[in-house]
Amino acid sequence: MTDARIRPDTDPTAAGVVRTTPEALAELRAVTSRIASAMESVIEGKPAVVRTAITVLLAGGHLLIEDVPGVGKTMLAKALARSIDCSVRRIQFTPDLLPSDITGVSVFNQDLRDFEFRPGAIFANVVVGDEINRASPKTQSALLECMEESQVTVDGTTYSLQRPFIVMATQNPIEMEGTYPLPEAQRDRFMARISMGYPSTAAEVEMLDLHGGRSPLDTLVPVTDAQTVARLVLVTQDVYASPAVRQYVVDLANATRTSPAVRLGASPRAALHVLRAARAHAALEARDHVLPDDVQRVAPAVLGHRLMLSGEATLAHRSPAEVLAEILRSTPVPIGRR
Amino acid sequence: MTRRGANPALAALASLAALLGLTTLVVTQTWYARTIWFVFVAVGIGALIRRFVSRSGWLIVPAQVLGVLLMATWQYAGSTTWWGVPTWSTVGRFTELFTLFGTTVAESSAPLLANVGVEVTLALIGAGLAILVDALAVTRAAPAAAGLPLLTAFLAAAANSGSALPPAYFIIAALAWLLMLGRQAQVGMRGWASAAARPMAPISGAALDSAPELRFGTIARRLGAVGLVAAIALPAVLPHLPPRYLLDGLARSADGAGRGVGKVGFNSTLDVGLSLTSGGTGTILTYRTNAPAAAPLRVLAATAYDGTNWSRPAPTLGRSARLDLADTVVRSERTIVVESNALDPPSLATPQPILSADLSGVSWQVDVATSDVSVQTRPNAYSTTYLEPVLTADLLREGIDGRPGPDRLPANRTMSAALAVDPRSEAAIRALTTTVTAGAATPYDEAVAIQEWLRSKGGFTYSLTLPEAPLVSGVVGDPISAFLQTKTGYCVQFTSAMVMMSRAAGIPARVAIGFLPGSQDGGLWTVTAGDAHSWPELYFPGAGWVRFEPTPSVRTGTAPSWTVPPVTPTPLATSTARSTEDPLDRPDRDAPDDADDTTTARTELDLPILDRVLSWVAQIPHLFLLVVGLVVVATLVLPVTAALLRRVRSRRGGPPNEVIEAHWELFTSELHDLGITTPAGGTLRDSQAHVARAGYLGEPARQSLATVVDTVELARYARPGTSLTVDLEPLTRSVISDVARTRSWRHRARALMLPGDARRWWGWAGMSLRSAPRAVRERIRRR
Repeated sequence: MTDARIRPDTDPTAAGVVRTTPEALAELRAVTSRIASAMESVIEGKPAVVRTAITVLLAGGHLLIEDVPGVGKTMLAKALARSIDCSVRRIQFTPDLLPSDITGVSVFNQDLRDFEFRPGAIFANVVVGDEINRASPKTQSALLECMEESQVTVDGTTYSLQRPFIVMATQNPIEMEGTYPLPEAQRDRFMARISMGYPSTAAEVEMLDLHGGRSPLDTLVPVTDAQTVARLVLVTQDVYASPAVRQYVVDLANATRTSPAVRLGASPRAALHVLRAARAHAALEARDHVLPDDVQRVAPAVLGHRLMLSGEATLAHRSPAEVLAEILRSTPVPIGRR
Repeated sequence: MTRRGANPALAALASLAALLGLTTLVVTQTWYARTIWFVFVAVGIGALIRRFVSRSGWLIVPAQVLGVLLMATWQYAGSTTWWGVPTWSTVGRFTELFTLFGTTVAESSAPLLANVGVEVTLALIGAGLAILVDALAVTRAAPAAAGLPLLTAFLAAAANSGSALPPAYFIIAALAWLLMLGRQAQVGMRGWASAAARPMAPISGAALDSAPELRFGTIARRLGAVGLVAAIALPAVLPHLPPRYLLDGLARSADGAGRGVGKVGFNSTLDVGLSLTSGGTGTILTYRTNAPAAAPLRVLAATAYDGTNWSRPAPTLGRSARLDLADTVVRSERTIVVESNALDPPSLATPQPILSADLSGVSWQVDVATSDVSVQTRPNAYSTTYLEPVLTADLLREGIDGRPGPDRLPANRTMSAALAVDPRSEAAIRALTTTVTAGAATPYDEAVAIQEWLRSKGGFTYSLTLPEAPLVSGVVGDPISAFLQTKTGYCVQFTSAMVMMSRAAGIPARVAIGFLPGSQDGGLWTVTAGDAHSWPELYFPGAGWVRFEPTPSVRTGTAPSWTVPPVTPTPLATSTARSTEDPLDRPDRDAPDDADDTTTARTELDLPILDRVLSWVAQIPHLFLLVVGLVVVATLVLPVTAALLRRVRSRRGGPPNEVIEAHWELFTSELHDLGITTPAGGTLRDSQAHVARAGYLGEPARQSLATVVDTVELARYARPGTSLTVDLEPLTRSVISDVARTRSWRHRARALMLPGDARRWWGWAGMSLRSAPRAVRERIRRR
């Protein structure tokens, strides 16, 4: 399967510098609210989850959705993918899935007498990786490498992935049989992890009504295109983070490392992810600068899955979210003096 | 003060406030200091027992009584105890003390001269009141009932002296009681669960009115206001109570309308060293007279002076008095018809010399020497006829019937007594008299010179309050010397000085005590307690006892015409000229003429309030003034510093973000003073949410707060170069005022008086002051 859009080292928005002008922010707000309402027509009663997903999209990160079966993990991923007019690939991870299924493979073309690259499922704007913990670690690693590098190297040739590029992986925490849980280092590649949680009673009743006949996904029409989203990602990257905010992010990361309740704290990559997510959060509020409040809002989703609690904390039945909330409370916000 | 200690303390305060009125009944206030001790011992014992032993009442009152009695015993009857334990002779000692109190009360009129009996009795009464109030208000938790004993104490003060009690005493006592009452109500309210749960949501005006427990407060406030208005308005409307009922100390002074409510006792002695505190508006007499100008009404004439008091010698009573008027003097007979009389027997007020009297059946006699009238019972109405000789300056100077000089004085006991100079001040008086009367040819001229000197030339000031007596070689001198030194006093001092100086000049003189003619309204003269007066009477052979007027107050008016020689160029020329035209027309003592006397009007203007205030201020020791001044300055330091800092900061230039940070710092500091502390280490939005919630902000203030926070966020976190609005002052003001509206008075007072940024500034200033020497040393060493 060839795709005309696949060109090595191409970037649709590389030309020109994108700035957080009020117009750009207004466009960003309009587009994201369209995406949000489109998604919420499918995922009822989960505005926070939808918002986090959009934040991750704008921040150029990847999303790990972890919850029990049947609460709409895949639905969320699909809804986000469908609301953007872009290429979508869904990979159902199984134990026998091979890395080449993901990255692609060079095959010998008899006619041309040459090797030809057949791109794998990763060559898309939105990649939905279902049940990611069912694949073997080898396959997982191939995916995660692509996620980190935004490029694929097969047989010495490097292929750049499309922009925007977001991987939304789902995993099931309770089915342990025949799964290969993501190691900590690999979980770290995901910008944020969210849990869907059960819908409220009213939302569930509404859902039964809407989803009773056919899937609302079928009626979902794209509200924007890949190029716009790619531009918005660049706008987001231009959101200003003052030294005080950067200091605050580092302070938070340090606090997770020194907290007695945490065995493994946030990595520098985690700090980077926090700042990127905070930028996106600020941009979603049409602000061209990051506030400590943005950092606080995104920190639970961004840091939650990276913390490994110490033995005592685990024995005390403390969850990473609790520990993180305490760290947020106790870390003072630096007062910016320029 | 802890919550538990507040109620007993308030009970003590209320008792002491109610007892304050009694201080007007006693000359010296040592008993009040004792009372304070006793009251605090009693209340303290009560508080301790309630705290540590039992909250029920049966033990408390006996323990309090025992404690106070023991304290009184050690204080006043220490020698009769056996190792501090009262014995039988202690009872005897207290009986003596109480008897002494009884005798003092029976024999003297208020204010009482304080002795140990008065002191111990009043202090014990005060302690008893406090025990009762404590038992009712604290132990039985019924402060409203405690109002009764408090009122009793106040009324005891109000009813027992001859003059009106200033309303301040009532106000202080009432306020103390209301404080107690309010405190009790507050404690009661705190017990209601709903009162604590209320302020979680912002309170709007409508919600405020609809909340049931708050409606109780509104009703109570309205009731209170209505009650207060009624308390003031009703006495004015009710027919038998004068409108100034409350202000006149519950109208205890006489209204003199023959209803028997008011009576005035007249002490037969006159203390020269005592401030005149019994000014009042109670009516003593009303009368009509056929005299063109009403004469002062004399009650008695005193000749003997014991160094402090004037007193009259034992009278020789008869039906008629000796008349010393020569036959050649032109005279008229005048009649005065008194329509109401509130003067207690045996005194009777009438112009002198009296010829005859009709006391509507009451038996009366006159003192042969002084012609003072004494009566058995008080006549409600009476009329007397008196002589009004036509005296002129020339007549007195030249002598009547060729009897000009002192060598023609009748030699009898009365005259020798009327020439006795007070031995304690004799030297000073004689020296002074020689100076003052230098150049006077006749006794009359000498008398005129003395009067003139006291009225204007000597530089005397009229004041109802006497200044602190100056010390003469370490001890308080006699009152007359003190007066001549301080040159401040009222009629008694002026009169005493003139009498003594005249005696030193060889003119027999005595002190007349009575009333000024009062004020006239349609022919009816009204004499009030404030018209009480004394004046000197000098004896001139042939003319008898002649009235002089050395007191330079507006009320006493000008000097009598015969005491002002026509040739003397004085501002009194008007009166003099008139008196020569019509000898019968004496200078009117009432208001219209007062303005003529420009000298006295200007220098001795009788402005009671201002005078009193000034003389009070003059009496306050300088150290006390210094302390008060320092306290005032210390109180003002922080608010003034805060205002200055605010001004400096708002005017300071610099980068916009620094100015905004300074505004924010000031804003949070002021909020902190008002009791809203923004969470430390939180974000600005956390602070915003906290302030909006804790300050019950209204919508406009919320908007202002949001704008302020947005601006500070921009200043802190936005890209450098973002344009910033610098002037946050009006916005922060509006938020602060909105917050202040919902805070308790304590918070508001603290924000006003102890602003945090001013405190920090002083702390910083103090620190840098302390470290300054070291910094200088280090700098020098570095060089």
